Amino acid sequence: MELSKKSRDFLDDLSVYLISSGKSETEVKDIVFELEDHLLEAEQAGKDVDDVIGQSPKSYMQYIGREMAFDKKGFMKIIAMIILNLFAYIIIGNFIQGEMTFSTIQMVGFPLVALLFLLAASQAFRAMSIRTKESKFRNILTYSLLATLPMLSFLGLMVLDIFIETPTVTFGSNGQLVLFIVAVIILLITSVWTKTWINLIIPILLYVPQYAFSRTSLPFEQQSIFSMLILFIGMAIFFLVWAKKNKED
Amino acid sequence: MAMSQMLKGLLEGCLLAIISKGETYGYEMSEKLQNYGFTMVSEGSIYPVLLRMKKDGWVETIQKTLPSGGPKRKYYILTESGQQELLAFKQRWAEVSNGVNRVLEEDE
Repeated sequence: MELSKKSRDFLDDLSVYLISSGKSETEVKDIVFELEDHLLEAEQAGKDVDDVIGQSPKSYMQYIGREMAFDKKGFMKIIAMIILNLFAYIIIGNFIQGEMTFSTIQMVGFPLVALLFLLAASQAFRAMSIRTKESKFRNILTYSLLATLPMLSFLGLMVLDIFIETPTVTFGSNGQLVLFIVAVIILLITSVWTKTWINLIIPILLYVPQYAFSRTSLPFEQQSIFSMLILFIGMAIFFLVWAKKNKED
Repeated sequence: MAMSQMLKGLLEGCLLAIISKGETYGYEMSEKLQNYGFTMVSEGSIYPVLLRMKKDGWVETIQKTLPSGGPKRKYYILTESGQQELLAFKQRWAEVSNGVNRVLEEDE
């Protein structure tokens, strides 16, 4: 017997709500799995998810959430991973351009932006998971705001960097090579940790064309356009394959 | 609607009593509660209470494969401190219900 779409949606929302509230992933999986078992049996007996929870999904999710502890260790791990990955991307990009200078503003600002984005994202997903299904417009607005946040903050950092001069660190070619290797190792570790290929595929699509074109005599604009094209087409193919595979599972 | 503290306490005690009769799982517990006439709470409200009971160390859970060979199911068993809590609950309940009954009888 398959679970109804309504119950499935409820369980998905619950899991987004709990994860974005900073609960441990294992504990979340555990309770969602248990409720799924319950809902399957309840549906066979002719009851639906509303009968089972007996209150609004929002208050039920909050009720469950209150009984689960905040997973400090997991939260720190995620923050560390995001900050390390952000630096990995920046380092690889700079390595290809053959220049690696960081200002104090950048070194402090990048982790702060990452932290800010993580907090904003978790708040946004938490809010969306307990909204009713009729709030489509508000959800789209939330997504858009969330997407512009990192762009705006990086832009802000760039502007700050231009106007305020802070001490900088410059790496020579040996230092660059070491950092590059460290960055690749970070990407590999994250891929193993999250069990996805995405963190290897994006950098490859992003940086390999850039590197290859920089060796040609094409004008810079054409290099950028071709690199972007390869990135977007590659990402589209990756998501198509991924979506198809998910469907089959 | 939020469940009152009193109702939560009663639900906790009843769940302890049900689990003490042998290992059981969520849906089975909610069925038993309904059959006993404990219909003031929804089926789903046992789960937050069970989470709390596990955190307090009154119950433990084990994963078991279903006899039909399907997916695993989570079963609850009572711990030593759960047994003690059940005894304490029974005592508290006897006192409270005694007192309340006497007050109500006097009314009639």
